[in-house]
Amino acid sequence: MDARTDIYALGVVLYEMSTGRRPFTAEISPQLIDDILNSPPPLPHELNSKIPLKLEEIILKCLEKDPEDRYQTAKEIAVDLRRMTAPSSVSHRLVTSRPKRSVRLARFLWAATPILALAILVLGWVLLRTAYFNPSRSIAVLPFEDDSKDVSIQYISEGITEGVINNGDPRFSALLKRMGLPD
Amino acid sequence: MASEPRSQNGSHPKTDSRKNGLHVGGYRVLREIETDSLGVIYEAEHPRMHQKVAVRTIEATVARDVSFSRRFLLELRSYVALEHPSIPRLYELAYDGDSPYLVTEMIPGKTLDEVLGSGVRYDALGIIGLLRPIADALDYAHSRATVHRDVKPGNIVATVTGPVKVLDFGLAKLIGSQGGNALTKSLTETHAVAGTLPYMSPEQLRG
Repeated sequence: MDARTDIYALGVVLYEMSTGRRPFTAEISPQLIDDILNSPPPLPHELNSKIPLKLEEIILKCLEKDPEDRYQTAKEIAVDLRRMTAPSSVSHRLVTSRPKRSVRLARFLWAATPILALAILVLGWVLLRTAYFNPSRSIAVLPFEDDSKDVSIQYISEGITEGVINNGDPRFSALLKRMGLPD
Repeated sequence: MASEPRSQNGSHPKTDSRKNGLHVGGYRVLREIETDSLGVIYEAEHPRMHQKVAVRTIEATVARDVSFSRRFLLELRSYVALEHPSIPRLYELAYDGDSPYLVTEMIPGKTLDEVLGSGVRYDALGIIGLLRPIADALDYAHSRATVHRDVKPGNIVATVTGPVKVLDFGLAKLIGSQGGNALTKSLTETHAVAGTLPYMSPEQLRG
């Protein structure tokens, strides 16, 4: 005895709620037992014409005599019951609250176009302004020449040239400042 | 529409003398809900917490049966692990003298049995709304190796505000099974004919 026993019993409850009676109604136990074991239940829609065909299918599948022929898990019943209510209401909600992908893309592009255009204009203006009104400062470094002809201090002129080009050296930053050339 | 035997007014003869003070363990009995082959189910209240609970007493004679006790504990261990909005919580297993009792969530509302018996009819949407959560709860329990074995309108409660609930999870085998002693057996037989038999599957009847 396993889960499919509960599935059969749930089928009887579904049957009873749908038709107002149980599938087998014999008063005497031996007859009732024989019916449960051997007789097919009367079709639910013959007892209540309002029962949707799909619900009848679900009920009869629960009531199969052989457990192998029933739903194998209660999950499948829950899914089938949910499906009965789902198709109309869910697809309706999908259309109204969450449009299809292509529609969403089109709407996004329409909304994005003016923003993109504005962004391009702003970017262009910033680039122009930078180029015209804020030219980067530069200095031309010619080799320093030592007029003293003193070979022993020639390294200083070479050092100054190097220092100005690589002006990360703090000593030459200070020197440049003294010469009136900020950084 | 036959329902299972209930004795709303009568007390269970075996437990009556012990319940004179209207207490089971620490719980004050408010009313008797039902008697079955295991014992009596009461609506009760913790005197300090003022929380309403269902207390199920187990007959000492039933509880003394060693094989019953073993199966009972096994069933309870799987039941206590179930956490689902449609399955009442099991709070406690305790003893009042020699008699064990179970404390579970009290589910206010009418059983589907009572609702159908009063002539209420459901349309397809009503049926789906009520039984889909039950199918979910059964699937949840089945996935944890617990089979109910006694699904019937008398064990389904249509609560007024909360979710639909399945009662007596995991105990059905003990209530409705070929019990270990004569008392369980005789009570089970009358019980089955009155309420449970029409919901039993062919393989259940073949035993």
